[in-house]
Amino acid sequence: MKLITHNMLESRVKDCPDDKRFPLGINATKVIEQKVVLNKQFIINILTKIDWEVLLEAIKQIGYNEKIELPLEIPVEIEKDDDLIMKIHHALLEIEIIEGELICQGTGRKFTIKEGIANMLLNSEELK
Amino acid sequence: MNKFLILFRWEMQPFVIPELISCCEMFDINFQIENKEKLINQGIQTPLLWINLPDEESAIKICSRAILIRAIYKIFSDSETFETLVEDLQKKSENEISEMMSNFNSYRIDVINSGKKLTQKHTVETIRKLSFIPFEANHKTVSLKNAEVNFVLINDFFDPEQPNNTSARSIKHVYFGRQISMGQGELKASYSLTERLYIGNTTMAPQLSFLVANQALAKPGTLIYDPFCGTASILISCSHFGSYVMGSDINYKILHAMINSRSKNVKRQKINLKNNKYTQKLSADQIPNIKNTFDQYKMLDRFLDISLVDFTHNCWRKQIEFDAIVCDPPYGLREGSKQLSENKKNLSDQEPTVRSSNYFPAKQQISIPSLIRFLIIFSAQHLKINGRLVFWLPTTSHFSYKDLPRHFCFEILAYSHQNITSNLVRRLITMKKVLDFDPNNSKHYKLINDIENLNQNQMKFKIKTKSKSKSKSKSKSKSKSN
Repeated sequence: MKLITHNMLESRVKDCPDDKRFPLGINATKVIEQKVVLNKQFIINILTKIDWEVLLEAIKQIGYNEKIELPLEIPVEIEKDDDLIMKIHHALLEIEIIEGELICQGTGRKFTIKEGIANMLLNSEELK
Repeated sequence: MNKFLILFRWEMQPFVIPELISCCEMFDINFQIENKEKLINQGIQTPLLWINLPDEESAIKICSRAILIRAIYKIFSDSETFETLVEDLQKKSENEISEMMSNFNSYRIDVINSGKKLTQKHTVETIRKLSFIPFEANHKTVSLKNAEVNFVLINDFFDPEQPNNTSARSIKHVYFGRQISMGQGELKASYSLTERLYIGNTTMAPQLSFLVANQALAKPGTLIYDPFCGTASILISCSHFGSYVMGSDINYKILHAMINSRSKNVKRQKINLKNNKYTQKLSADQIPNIKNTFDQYKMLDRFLDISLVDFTHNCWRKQIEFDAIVCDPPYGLREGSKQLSENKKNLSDQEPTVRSSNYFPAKQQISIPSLIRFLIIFSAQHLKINGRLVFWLPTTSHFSYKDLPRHFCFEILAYSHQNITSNLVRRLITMKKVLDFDPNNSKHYKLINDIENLNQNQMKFKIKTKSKSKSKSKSKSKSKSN
């Protein structure tokens, strides 16, 4: 599971208060890096939907905050800063959590990540 | 505007015009065809169609996407018989000839017989009869393998009144021209399931999934989601055209590549893969699964993620918007449609937090109309404006335009059909989001028409259940209309 996906997912556990559904906490036990081709326009487009604070926190939770240094806020003229776009591309698309868990901040429910696939399926008693 | 001639592949006729329109929309191409409305409603009756396009560049762009176009030609002369065509060509002015001879050194001539099979001998003779065209005088050389320009003579034998008896068909029209570009029919072979690393019992044939990708306007940099991705065949096609793709499914075994398949396709694929260049280079950790299949096609950079999600309890946060949502929902014709069960009897005694990672939650069947309602409302919430929802829907032959599911946020663009059996018709529905979803408007949480009533007559489905064997009665009820 890549950090772009983490930035899109929320917890749907029944007992979770609405303001705690997003973001999910991360406990990563195996992380890999894999270079992929940059599409600058895609990164610029997706940034309008990315929760920047959540991305910074996620990078910290997987222990990459020293490797990837990102500013506290997205600069206004981001499209002129190719270095930063490359870093964001790396953070969103090139880091993959292979084994670990996502943790619902409202209930503590853990969602397993196995073979890079997050298991967001709920049990009967957790359904709304 | 310039006039061009399109030669279509003679298959999946109801999909031809919607695909053409989508390809034009993708590149913002203005086009004109005669009887457009009639063609949209009834489909094409012959494989040849005149089209007005701004320039050759537009024809090349359309061909870079269309699966059902064989080629697009610039026609120099056309007539009712070969003899009158020759007369017409001989009368061409010097200017017209020099236009025909511009910008190339090598050429070849192909003869295409549409609607009839003729011998090689006939083809050779026809080409010989065209030798009066002053190619040599203009220093052009023939090259069969690497011609810069392909000239064509198209013999149109197509006769809708002689659908089966091809030998009875006589020539209707003859065209002579230059091929501008070829369509994408060969994608069918380059994405063939028998060479694909990971497939399942219900993996969609490449031709069908490329049609979905075109209807979804998949293009570089767009974000496309398939909520019932299975082995990701539709996403693979979208990704081929440059889209970034995200998939989810409820089936643990499919996503984790644990399926043990008995399908013929899978057996054939297993044999082929032994001799496949890609698989021979695979290392031990590159097992056949969805991610590695994207790697096989060198599209890993556009594969975002697949996740285990129950679509009816999906977990995308509100702000997330996709450029297109595509799917072939599990209607129970092949794979049963399931959602997580709320049935208390299925309660497990374990705490959720200590369940093992490969715990399989209880699932239950969900009706097709409910599934479609979920899909459309989800799409209303999670598509960009002008974004498209493209999905397959099984119907009966009695299903008509008025039965299509409608929602305030959507406009229906196409509903092409493919006959599966005498009473089972599969439709590819294309909807465009035209209005923002309003969370405070209760009308946006339901469909305009009540598709629950369609169950028996218009929407064909036979849910597979484990306990009951084949039930025939349900799907056989006849409509009273007509």
